Amino acid sequence: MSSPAAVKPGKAKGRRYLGSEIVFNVILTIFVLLCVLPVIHVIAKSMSGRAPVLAGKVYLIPKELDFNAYVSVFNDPTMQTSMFFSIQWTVIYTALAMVSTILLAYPLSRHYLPGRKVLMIIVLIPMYFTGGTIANFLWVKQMGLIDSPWSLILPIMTSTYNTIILRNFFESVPASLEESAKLDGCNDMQILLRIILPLSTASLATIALFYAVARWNNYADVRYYINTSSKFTLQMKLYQVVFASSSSDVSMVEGGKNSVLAETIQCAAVVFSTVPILIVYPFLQKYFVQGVMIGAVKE
Amino acid sequence: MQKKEVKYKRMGFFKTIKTYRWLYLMLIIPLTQYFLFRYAPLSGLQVAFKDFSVFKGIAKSPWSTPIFKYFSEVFNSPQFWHAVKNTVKLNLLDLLFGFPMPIILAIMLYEMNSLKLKKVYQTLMYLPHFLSWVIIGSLVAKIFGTNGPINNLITSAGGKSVNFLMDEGNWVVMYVVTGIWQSAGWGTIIYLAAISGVNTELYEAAEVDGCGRLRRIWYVTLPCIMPTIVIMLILQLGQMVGIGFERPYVMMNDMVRNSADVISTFVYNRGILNRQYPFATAVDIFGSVVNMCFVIGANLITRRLGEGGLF
Repeated sequence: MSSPAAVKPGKAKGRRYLGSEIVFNVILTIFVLLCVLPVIHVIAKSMSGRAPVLAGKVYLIPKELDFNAYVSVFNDPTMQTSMFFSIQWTVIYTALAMVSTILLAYPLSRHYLPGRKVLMIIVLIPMYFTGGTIANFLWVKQMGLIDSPWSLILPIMTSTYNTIILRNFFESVPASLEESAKLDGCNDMQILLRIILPLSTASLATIALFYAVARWNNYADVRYYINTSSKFTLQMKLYQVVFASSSSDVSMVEGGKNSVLAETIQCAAVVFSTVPILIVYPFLQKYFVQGVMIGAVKE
Repeated sequence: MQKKEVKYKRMGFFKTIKTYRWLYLMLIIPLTQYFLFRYAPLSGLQVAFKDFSVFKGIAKSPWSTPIFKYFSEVFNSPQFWHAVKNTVKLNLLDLLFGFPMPIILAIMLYEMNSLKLKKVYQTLMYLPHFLSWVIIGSLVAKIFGTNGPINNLITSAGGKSVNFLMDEGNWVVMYVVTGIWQSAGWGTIIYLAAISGVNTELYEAAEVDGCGRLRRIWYVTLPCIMPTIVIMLILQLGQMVGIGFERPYVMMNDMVRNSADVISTFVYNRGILNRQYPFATAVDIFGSVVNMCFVIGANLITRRLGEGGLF
C-alpha cells in the first residue's frame, strides 16, 4: 500500500522511534494472535483423543492424535447431504446472480442510454427501504417457495452493492472499443459478450466470490424459509450440531451419547464447515480488498 | 457524455426503443427480479393493518379496527420496548468500543517497518470477516464455555470458573468483543486506504518541525483521515436501530434472553415462529421508518459537513 519512496524514511524512522515501534508491534501481534488462536484451538480439539479433551488439557496442540471425530463427521449422511446441498446451491446462486448482475450493470454503465436515471433510482430505492423480514417471508410464502431451495436464491439474486461496483468497472472500459465494434456491426449484446466481459475478468471474479461467500455463509434465510432437514445448508446443520447438541442431533453420530466424544465431533464439524472458506481464502483476500477499495471510491 | 445525451434527445420513443433494444432487453431479467422480490414484497406491509388470516390471504383479510390496532399492541408491549432498548444498547456499545479499533489498528499497521510482516498480519486479521456467524458462534461457545480453554486456564490457576455466556453482564461483553474480533481487522482496509492517501510531504514537514512519531500521528495522520472517520461514524450512527439477525441469534441462549433479545430476533420469534404476522410486520415497519429517518438524518449531516452526502 505504501509506495517504495515511502519505505526509506520509514526505515530511518524505525531506528529513531524504537519505543513506539515495539509497542505497536506487540499490540498488533496480540491482536493477530487473537484472530487466529480460536481457530487453532478448535482444530486441535477436533484431532485429540477423548481423555485429554475431558481433562481440559487441549489448548493449541492436539493431544493423543485421533481422527475418529472426522471419520464420524464424514460418514454422517446428513452432514454429507448438507455439504453437497450447500455446494450445489452456492454454485447455482453464483451463476444466476452473475448473469443478472451483469445484465443490470452493463446498461447502467452506458451514459447515453435514455432512462438510465430512472433505472438507477429503481435500483437504489431498495437499498434504503425494504419490506422487512415478515413482508419478505409472506411474499416467499405466497410464491409457494417456502421449503424450496429457490427461496435461498431468487430473493437475493441481484445485489445493488455488487451491481454498482461492476458498473464502475464497466464504465472504465475505454469507449473507443465499443465505438469501433459498433462500426463493425456488433450489437450491444455482442459488444458485452465479446469485448466488455473478456476485459473485466478480474472484476467478474471479485463479484462472483462476493456472491459465493455471501451465500455460503448466510444462515438467516435458511432459518426463515427452510423446514426440511434434507435442505439444510451446512451452516444450518452446523448450528444444530453445535447448539442443539443436547437434543436428538447428537444421536446423528453413533457414539454421541458421550458428551466428550460429542465435543470433539462438534469441533470437527466446525472445522469441516470452515475448510471450504479457508481453501478459497487466499484468492478471496486479494480480490475482496480490490472490491472494497473500488466500492469505497465515490462516484 | 453530456454531448451524447443532447444528440439523442430528439429521437422519437419507438426509434429510441429500437436503437437501444439490446440494452433494454438485457434489463428484463434483473428488473423482473427487482420487481418480483424487492418491490412486490412491499405489498405485504399492509398485513400490519389487517386481521390477517392465512386462509383468506393478504388481499381478502379484513382491515383491522381500529386501523392501528396492531401498532398500539406493539407500542403497549413491554417486550417490544425491551427489544428496542437492547438493540440501541448493543449498538451503542459497538460504536463506543468497536468503532475506534480499526482506526487504531490501521495507524499501527501503516507505521510498521517490515512490509512483509505487515502483509502477513493483514491476511490473518481479515480472516474472521470471512467466517460465518454460525462458525464464529461455535468458536465462542467452545472457547468460553464451561469446559473451554479459558475456564480451564482460570481453574488450573486456582480461580473460580466464570460463566461467560450464561450471565447477562458477561454476555454483553462477549457480544461486543466478538463483534470487534470479527470486523476490526477488515475495517482497517478503508482507513489504510485513507492513510496512504495522505501527502507524505506533510510527514516530512512535521519531522522537520521536530514532531516525534506519536505527535505526527496525532497532528498529521488523524486530521488527514478525519473525513473518512466522520463518514464511517455517521454511517454507523445511521444503523442505530437496525441490527442483523445472525450475530445475536447465534450467540443467544435462554439464560441471557433478557439482554439479548433485539428487534430482529423479536420479529423472528413473534412473526415466523409464533405466526403473529400483523404484530411482527408492525414491528418491522417501526424499525424501517426509524432507520430511514436515521439514514436521511445522517445524510443531511454529511452534506452539511461538506462531505458531499452519501446519496
